[in-house]
Amino acid sequence: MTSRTTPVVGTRLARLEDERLLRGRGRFVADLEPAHTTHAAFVRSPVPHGRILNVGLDAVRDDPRVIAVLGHTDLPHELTNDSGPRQPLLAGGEVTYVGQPIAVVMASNRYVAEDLTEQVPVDIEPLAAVTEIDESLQGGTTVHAGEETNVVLINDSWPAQLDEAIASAHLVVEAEYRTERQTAMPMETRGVLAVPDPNGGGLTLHTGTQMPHILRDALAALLELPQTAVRIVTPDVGGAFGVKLAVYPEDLVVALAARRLQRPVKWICDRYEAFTSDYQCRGSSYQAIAAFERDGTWTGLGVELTCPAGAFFAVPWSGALVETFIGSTSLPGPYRIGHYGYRCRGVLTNTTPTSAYRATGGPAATWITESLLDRAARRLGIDRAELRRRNMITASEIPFATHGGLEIDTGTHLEALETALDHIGFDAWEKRRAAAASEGRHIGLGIASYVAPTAAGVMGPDPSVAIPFDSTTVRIEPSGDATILAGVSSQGQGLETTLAQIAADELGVAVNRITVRAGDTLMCPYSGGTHGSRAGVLGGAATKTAAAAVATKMRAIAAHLLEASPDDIDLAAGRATVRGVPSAAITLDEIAMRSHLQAQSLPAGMEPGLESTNRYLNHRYYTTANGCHVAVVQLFEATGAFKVLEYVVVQDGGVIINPSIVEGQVRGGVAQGVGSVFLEAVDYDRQGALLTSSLIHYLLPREWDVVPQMRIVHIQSPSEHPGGMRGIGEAGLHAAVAALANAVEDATGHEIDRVPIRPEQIADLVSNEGRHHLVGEQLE
Amino acid sequence: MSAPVSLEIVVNGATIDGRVDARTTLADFIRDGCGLVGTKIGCEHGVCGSCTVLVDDLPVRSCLMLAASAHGSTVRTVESLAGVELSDLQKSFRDNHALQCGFCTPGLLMTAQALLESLGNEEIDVREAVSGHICRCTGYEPIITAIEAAMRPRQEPAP
Amino acid sequence: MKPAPFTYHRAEAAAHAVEVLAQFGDEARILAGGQSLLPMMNLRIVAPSHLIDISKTADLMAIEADAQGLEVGAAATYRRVIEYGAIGQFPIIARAISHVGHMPIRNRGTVVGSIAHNDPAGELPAVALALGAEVRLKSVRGSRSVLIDDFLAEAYTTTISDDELVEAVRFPRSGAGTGHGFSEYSRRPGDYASAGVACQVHSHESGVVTGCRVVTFAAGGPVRRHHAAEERITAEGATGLDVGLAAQATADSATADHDRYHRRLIQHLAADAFGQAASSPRGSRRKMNR
Repeated sequence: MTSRTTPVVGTRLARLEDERLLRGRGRFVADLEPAHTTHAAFVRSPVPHGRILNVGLDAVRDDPRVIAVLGHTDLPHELTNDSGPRQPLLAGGEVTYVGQPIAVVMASNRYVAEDLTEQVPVDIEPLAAVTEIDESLQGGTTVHAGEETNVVLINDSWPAQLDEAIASAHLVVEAEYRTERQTAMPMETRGVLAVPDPNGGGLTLHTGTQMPHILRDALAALLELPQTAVRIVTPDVGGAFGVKLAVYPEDLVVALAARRLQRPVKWICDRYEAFTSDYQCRGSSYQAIAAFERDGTWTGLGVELTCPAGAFFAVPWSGALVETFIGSTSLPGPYRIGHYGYRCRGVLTNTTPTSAYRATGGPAATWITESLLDRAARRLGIDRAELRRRNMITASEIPFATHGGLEIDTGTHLEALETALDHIGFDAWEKRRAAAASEGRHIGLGIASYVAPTAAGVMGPDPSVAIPFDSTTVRIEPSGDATILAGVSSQGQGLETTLAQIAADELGVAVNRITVRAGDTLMCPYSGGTHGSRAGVLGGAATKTAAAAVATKMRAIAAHLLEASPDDIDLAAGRATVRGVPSAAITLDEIAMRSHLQAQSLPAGMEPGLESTNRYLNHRYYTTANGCHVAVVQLFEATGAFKVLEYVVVQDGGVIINPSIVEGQVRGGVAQGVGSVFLEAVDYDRQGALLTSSLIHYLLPREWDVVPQMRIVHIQSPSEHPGGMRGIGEAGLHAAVAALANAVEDATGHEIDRVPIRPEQIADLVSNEGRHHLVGEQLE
Repeated sequence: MSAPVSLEIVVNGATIDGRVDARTTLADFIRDGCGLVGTKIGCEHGVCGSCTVLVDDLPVRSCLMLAASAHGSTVRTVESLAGVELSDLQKSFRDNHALQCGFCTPGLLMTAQALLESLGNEEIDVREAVSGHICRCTGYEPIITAIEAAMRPRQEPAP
Repeated sequence: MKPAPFTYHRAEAAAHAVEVLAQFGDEARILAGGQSLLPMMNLRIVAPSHLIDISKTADLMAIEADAQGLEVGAAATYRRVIEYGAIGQFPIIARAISHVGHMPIRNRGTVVGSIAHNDPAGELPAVALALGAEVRLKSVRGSRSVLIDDFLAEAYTTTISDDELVEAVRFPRSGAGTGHGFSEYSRRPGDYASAGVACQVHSHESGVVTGCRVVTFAAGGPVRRHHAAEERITAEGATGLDVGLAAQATADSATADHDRYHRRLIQHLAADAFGQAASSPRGSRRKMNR
């Protein structure tokens, strides 16, 4: 395309979504209420493990307020999990986590439905529960009675050369890192509205899923319906961050109930339920060993990753799978490491299942790599920035295949590091720290360079774990207005805007002539969903390609009507013009009209209409985005408080469609990093009871916790994909945990091996009380 | 069911004279009773701020108030803010990219609206004022920027 | 998270409220601002059969300062107390209220409700205890006044009878030579307090400490006075208030209840609180948030 007008891609266009959201006209699942809707509430397990002796559904079955009550015998369906025991939608013989659904009650409203769930007597004989991964790995007690093992995933790659590198190293750094359990907690909880559809005997499910087509396929299989009889529609979605990826028991129970009742059934997860039933994340341990030469050359890295699956291996992706997979892929970062190995274990626990949370596995991986570098630098007596420089991949080495399986095609790692260090004033850091210390202030600086695997593609000859393509239909209506039917849907990222920006440049029309529709399996082409920093990259590439095909056709029509060559036609500002002949022009509206209503005037043999669908297949295993974060934090002795004083992000996410939207993703990701390092932990007691079941106990970052003015610097190395995007949805969180945790280590002089770091620990570390590891002798 | 309670209440300028199930929260009454679903229910324990509305011009958590307790009160929700065009506050949110998913936004707008209406000569700490709202998407900075930008014209002395 | 059913009573007057209380006793709860009660009802931690709404009960709305002190009626919100003209004469109360939740919570929540609820992290029970406030209880049997020391019991409990309503709380006006301090740490503004200290110190013109009240709240324990610390501070205050010693005495007294982190935090906050009390009876220092 050779538009003469300024491209829309790259501009800070105001979002097209905002008008309706700001007026309160956004429509989320809870806002939908068709006639005769019944409201569901679940009876859930109060214990982490037990044998169900009795569920007294008969106690409420005859209550006139009950529209329906269903238990395991009514709905004996199971999810087919990739590993470990199959997961009943409603527990039958055994419950294996607090919050597991046991029965569902439908009533005229949620108030009454909750009244009724309280009246269902549930008699459970408690069994021994396993909540810790170490205990689970040891065996002994099993998460499910009658099973032989709790291990549901083993994935090892540990070359003998790694052991040799360790044996011959000048310096070996060993450490164990822990992440506590977290939960994504979007502000909109999960929710489902299932509406029976008399046509075809199927149903429509309105829900905020991140993967409408995957959920449709799962639902159709479970209901034994043709995929054409099941429609998934995602309305406005209030954030997801990975927690709305999985196929949940509640989704399917509500669908089955609606089919049975032939009435709409609606279930809106309340915040208390979200704490027990939303699939969680992290809670992992990492045993790491790193080998270095005297000059700092990094010769070996080995990590044993142990991650919890919870009570079942979530469908489609367990946290045990994605944490270890993305973790082991991300660990080598942007570094040239002699030899690399990993041993991954996924284990069941009597806790809520785990699944994805933004950058899953990446935050811990970056933290471990960057922490090992800091510790090695102190022991080797090499400046920590210098140690990174010596081992970092340079532009001349591109493309570089990492031991983690990534093919890195950007050479901007050092540039990102140096730029970030410049912005923070790293050369003057030690002086600044000393000055602060003389005033009794404890400040620290943390560096985190990262390579984030984004937009998963074809992973090998076997079927991919993820769908390696995405799809968009671009259609010009007879009026000249454009409809974009996108496979990828938004949970708040602003895809309506960014996809419209991409199409506007290709089609040469104003953004306000474009309407983006997404998240409807009936209307939109097949999609792998929005996750893994893929929507902008693959959905954007498909949109650009489809729009380009429509533009080509418009050029052909214009050339025919203007008696010129298609190669000489420019599309811009709603017009097709012959290059060099400004008077020879036709509006795109007229082209649209003719292509539909005066098809006889089209070039001979041309199909009427202006529409193209592209399914963009990504042949690359993973695309990569990279960059560097630097954080400066202050810690407070008496209170154990933290304050993020400064934060710099330099990132290469490829071509930027809308800088404001990209920066929003970064800021949001870094805020979640603050939560991960200082605030957020799902706490269970040893008996498996959940201690954090409200937002009073589970602290989400507030305005107070984030840095007031983050500096964000963009580098743009185009990727090979049409549009050149690299993926930016997860990068903020991918690096933030490392930058912040390393800043705390720097501030306290004590090794940080567990996040979140709680106030009690900060107070102890700053005051040198309690028992903690001291860092290497090079540091005073 | 709780016994119904009589209720007279003005919502966005419309007087509603009727009966409500006693246990209905103001949030559910606004959404289900009035059909004003712009008000979002985020946590139902008063922590997140998504359900914030103005009751007699003051921001309150509508999940922590019974509709019955609003008898005789005037309630304003997010739907009251815009005319044909967005209000200056809403435009400022849009122009500063102060929202992503938009779920927490209606509550934030109402708190900010009350702040704008109560502006005097005193120094207002916007960060403090909105500290009762949780946003999981934006990292907050654009929200603060948007509200401060909306306050600026009102704080400048009249010519 | 929807409340269980109940019968709703809109109290026309305090007398009406206590009549309903007399009829239903412990099956009834008073609803004032509801900022503590409604979350518990939404979670169905409590499910009263009868709810008596006093939030718009005219004769419980009063806020009045006189020569003896400040009286706050049961329906008076934090917001109205803060906006009350004479609140400047009771700066420690204003300071305590500034720490309560977020602004929308303060717009609905009530001073008396907080005291009646006796949340261990409650700012108002703490400041009432430090000031030696009196609560006025009303029932169909009559009215009685109870010293706050005798009103607050263990966390979330008080000595109120099932048929009684806390009609008002009365904070005494402090005489010359009285200083106050209130210091609280919460992880972020509006979060539940991690720990807090409220104190009142009486000094002779010469500076000799003649008496004090020291209260801790949150930090894993209930709202409570520290008599041992008070005695030590008074005994060793013959030459004036020693802020460091007072803070140490408070932390020492807290030892039994608290872990190392909270003891240290209490000492830090006590130093701030006693610093306020020493610097000026009406000293106003900025909030401690870190």
